[in-house]
Amino acid sequence: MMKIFRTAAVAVLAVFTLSLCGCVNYVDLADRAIVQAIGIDYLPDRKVYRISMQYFNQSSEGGQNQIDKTQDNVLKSVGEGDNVFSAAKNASLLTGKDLLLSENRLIIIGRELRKYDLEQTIEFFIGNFHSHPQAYVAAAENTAEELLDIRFKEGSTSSQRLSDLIRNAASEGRCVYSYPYRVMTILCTGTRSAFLPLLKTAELKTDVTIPKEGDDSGKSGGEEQSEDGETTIILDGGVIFKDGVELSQVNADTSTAVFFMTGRPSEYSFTVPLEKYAKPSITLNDITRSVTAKEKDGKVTFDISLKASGKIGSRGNIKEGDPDAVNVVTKAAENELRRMIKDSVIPVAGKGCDVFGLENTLCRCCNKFYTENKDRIGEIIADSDYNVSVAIDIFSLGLNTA
Amino acid sequence: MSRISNRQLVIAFLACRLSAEMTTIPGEMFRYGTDRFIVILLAKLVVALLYLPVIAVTLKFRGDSVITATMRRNKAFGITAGVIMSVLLTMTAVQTVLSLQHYVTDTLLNNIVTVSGIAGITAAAVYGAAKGLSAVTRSSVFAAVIFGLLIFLIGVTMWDKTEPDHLYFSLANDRTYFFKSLISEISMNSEILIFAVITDELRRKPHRTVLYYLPILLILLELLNLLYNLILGPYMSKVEYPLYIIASLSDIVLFQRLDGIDAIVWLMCGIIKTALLIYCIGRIYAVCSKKPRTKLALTVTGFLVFMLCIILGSDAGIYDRMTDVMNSGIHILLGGVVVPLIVLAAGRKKQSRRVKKNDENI
Repeated sequence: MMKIFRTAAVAVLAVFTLSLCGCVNYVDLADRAIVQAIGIDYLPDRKVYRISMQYFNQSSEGGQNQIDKTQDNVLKSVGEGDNVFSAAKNASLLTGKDLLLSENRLIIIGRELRKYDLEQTIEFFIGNFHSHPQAYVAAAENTAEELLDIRFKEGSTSSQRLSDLIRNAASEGRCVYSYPYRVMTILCTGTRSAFLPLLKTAELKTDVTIPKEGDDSGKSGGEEQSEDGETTIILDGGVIFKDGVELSQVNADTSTAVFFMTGRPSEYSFTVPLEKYAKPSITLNDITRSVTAKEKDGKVTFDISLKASGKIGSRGNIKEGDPDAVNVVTKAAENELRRMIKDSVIPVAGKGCDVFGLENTLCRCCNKFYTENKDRIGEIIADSDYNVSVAIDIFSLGLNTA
Repeated sequence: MSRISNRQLVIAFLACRLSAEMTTIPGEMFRYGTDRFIVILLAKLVVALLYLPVIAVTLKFRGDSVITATMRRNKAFGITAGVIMSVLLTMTAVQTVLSLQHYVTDTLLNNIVTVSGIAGITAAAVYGAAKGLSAVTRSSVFAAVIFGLLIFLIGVTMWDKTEPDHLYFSLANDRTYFFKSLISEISMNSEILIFAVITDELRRKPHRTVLYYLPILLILLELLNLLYNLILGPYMSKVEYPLYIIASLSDIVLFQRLDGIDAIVWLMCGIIKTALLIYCIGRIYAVCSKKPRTKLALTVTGFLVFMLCIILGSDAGIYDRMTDVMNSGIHILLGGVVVPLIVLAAGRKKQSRRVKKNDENI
């Protein structure tokens, strides 16, 4: 009897618990704007923040195909306000939909906004626990809205291509995975530095071959070349920040150097400038770094050491069985990588910007000196010396193509 | 009265302490660097010392809890000690429920009505307390399993996001922070109050609980701190709930965003802690009034906790002042050290009087 009573009690409790979801505010999925990408700009003439959001066009989905290509896969909503939060709220009001940020994969920061504290901008996404923590943060060459106006038909949504662009570049070792928490991790250091990958618009030239219309006799009129231009978005270098605001734009090499110094690149390919062997390409794997610091009479020297295994991706003129090839290519590759790291680190660190995590190294290796000079860490990094050593092991992975 | 094992109480205490780590500890206390590793270690040594008076009471009075021992000594004395302990336990329960309510609204349900949140948590805790100590400790085993699963999944999904370079060694760079953090870390151990009340419900020697509990807690807290440092680095100083952030970063095919599991774990642990605190108040009532039925007392206590949460939680100034008082560790010092020491002293006086009387008779 007791057993029956207990079973009934559990059943009643289960039904009651399951129906509790009806007691809270409920918004139908169709009434939500599933945000895919957010662009934030600052309009200095009107002193307002402008948020542009690409959200999923639910009417483009359905039927037998997953995606209806005849319709735009995303819609855009724009809102303005005195801060990021109110701009987002206004965008929601104009759309008439509840914003769902948990699927957002990209946050683009416009040029004007980068003149103001980056931390305050990103804080909106960090503080909003529903926001997707692994959305990429990127900088726009001009306005963020301009980038979101360019639509792509690839992928389930237009913004997927942009986030894929950053993800792919990161997996190739070209730029860091710029998740908000990673940006914040560097931004929380003494110099309040940060690095964001830079997205630019570009004209994509494509040659199209068009068959000429034939004459009345039915003969083909041959073929003619025509050039067609398409606006696309490319990833080109990045933007570095100091004291929370933009310091300067940097090239692709610096972008790679930031990743080498702060992350764990899984792969990186580059061309070795070697005349004799006609510039073979090397693909590095298993890349590890070690950064140490030593201090003498108030002068700090950072020793940066990189180790990697490599494969020759493109052989150039290297003949199979060439006994000197390994050594010559290795040496040239090491020199090239050393040059790249040195040319990237010294100018940026010289400005007192710490996107390479040098403060952390100083804290680790010269803690007493760091504690005493915490307040002038930017100056110390700017005045420091940098030694770079690179060791690439091509032999262990073989000379065959990667 | 069904007695529980030391092992069950250890797991229940871990649930209590870890829930405080996640929901009660002030955000600014999670600071990047090695200071917190040392703070945790020192705090556990101090806490071990703080447990000694209660252990001494249980050893001296053959397993009796502090309240039972005082009641045996003198009824008025017992009731006074019971009232003091009940007030301290009620305040701890209020702080736990309010912190849990803030945690839930900050993370999962940002539009939940405060009253319904507090009512839900308190009702669940009262129900747990009414089911008895054994039921509460058994449910804490369930919470411990989910916590273990969460840590395992975080380990599997986040190992590539750890950065060993974030670790460095330094000793008390910022002394003000160091001592503030140490006191806060000690004040989180309100299980000492629970221990002082329920030692007579343990099957075996109560001090064994402390012997197992403190080393396990030390390892767990150091591991969690290591996780925060390795993944968040300097950013950990800026976040209120570091484990929640770390759990939400999980992004592998099967497990994307573990923050839901994280919230469930701390919600369960918070309810278990509140249930234990309310149970202890019921237990004090049972010992002082010598009535075994405590369901009404538990319901009244639950209602009192609910009302206090509504009153204290409605004003930020009062809430902050209460948090400051609780973070000073005064409740632990009073309930965990002063009251047991008085009991020990009173017991000694009674013993010496008895010896004197015996001498006179001879």
